[in-house]
Amino acid sequence: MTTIQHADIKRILPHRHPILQIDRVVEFEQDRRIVATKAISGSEPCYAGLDADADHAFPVSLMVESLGQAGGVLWLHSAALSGEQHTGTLIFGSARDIVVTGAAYPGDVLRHVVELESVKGDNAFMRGEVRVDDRPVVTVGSMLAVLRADEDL
Amino acid sequence: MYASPLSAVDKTEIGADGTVTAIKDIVADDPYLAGHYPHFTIYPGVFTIETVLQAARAALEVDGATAHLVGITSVHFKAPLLPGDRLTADLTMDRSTEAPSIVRVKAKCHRADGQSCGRITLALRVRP
Amino acid sequence: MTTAINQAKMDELRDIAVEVLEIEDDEITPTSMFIEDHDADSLRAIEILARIEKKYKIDIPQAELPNMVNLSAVYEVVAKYAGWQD
Repeated sequence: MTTIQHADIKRILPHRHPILQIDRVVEFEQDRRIVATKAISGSEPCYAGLDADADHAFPVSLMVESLGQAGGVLWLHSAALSGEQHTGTLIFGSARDIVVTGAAYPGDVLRHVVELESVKGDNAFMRGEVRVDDRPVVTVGSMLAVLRADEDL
Repeated sequence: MYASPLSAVDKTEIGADGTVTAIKDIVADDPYLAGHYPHFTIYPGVFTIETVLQAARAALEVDGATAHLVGITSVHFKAPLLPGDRLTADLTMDRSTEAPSIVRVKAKCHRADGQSCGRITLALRVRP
Repeated sequence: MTTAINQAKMDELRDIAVEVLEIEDDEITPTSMFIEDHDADSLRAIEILARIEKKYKIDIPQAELPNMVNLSAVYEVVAKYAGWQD
């Protein structure tokens, strides 16, 4: 088990506030699996301006982003530990079979479990699940993250 | 009203055949974009999903109905979106006869220069 | 040299391609081109390659990607790395 604190996640991912949607890595198995948490707070930008009658479910798009970032940490940190150099910008390439089975609200802590299936050059295939209190809320059958040189963007 | 990361639809047009076209101008000072990324702003792929989702919800949440995302069958991103660009998403929406509360949305997204920036297929559950 | 085609394996490859390309079974032929005919891009090509690797537990170098332009070509490449004999 390896814990990676929030500040150190910033040495691995280029994302910054407020789109850095991972708080802490609680388990890390190089090249295999990661468990990371993200606490949902009512002070997130997505809750600005919402009154009492609004639906406060945390946006699924941000849950997917958060899960994807956990996968990004798994990939990039594993590569760094192997001494591999990766340059370029991390891009969400594609995903398949995302199923939403629940909702998460301010006060919940999202727990992401992501497995790295394979890496082909600058492309990483992963799958994962977002849980709240061990209840799955979003499952991602497969997703592909890619590194693209800034000139190619 | 519901929580969303940003307003991902600036304008919506409904075609005669029921297709919904949503337009979003990409601006660097939208919420969340400051961190994506500090060295180079690029519209997050998940926000393209938001554009499609918000457009679909607006079209379906009429007369008190609510529409919630139940799944994203597939999403493929192509050319990236940068500030100053315009995202246009053309949505077709179908209800399945076997499960009439489920609406399947297929969206083709492109940039101002016409290049495809993504294809998204998702499903919403509509409750009256 | 052309490998004799094992139809069952060709069908498996077709199932993978059809799923990744999101087309119907009858839209694809052994020679229809992924990029020109089925609107594929490099990401979809990589997805097809990764699924094939997972299914047959083989490793196909990324350098083979430009060769994998249609189902017949994919079959040739996979046969080489999976050691399919006729």
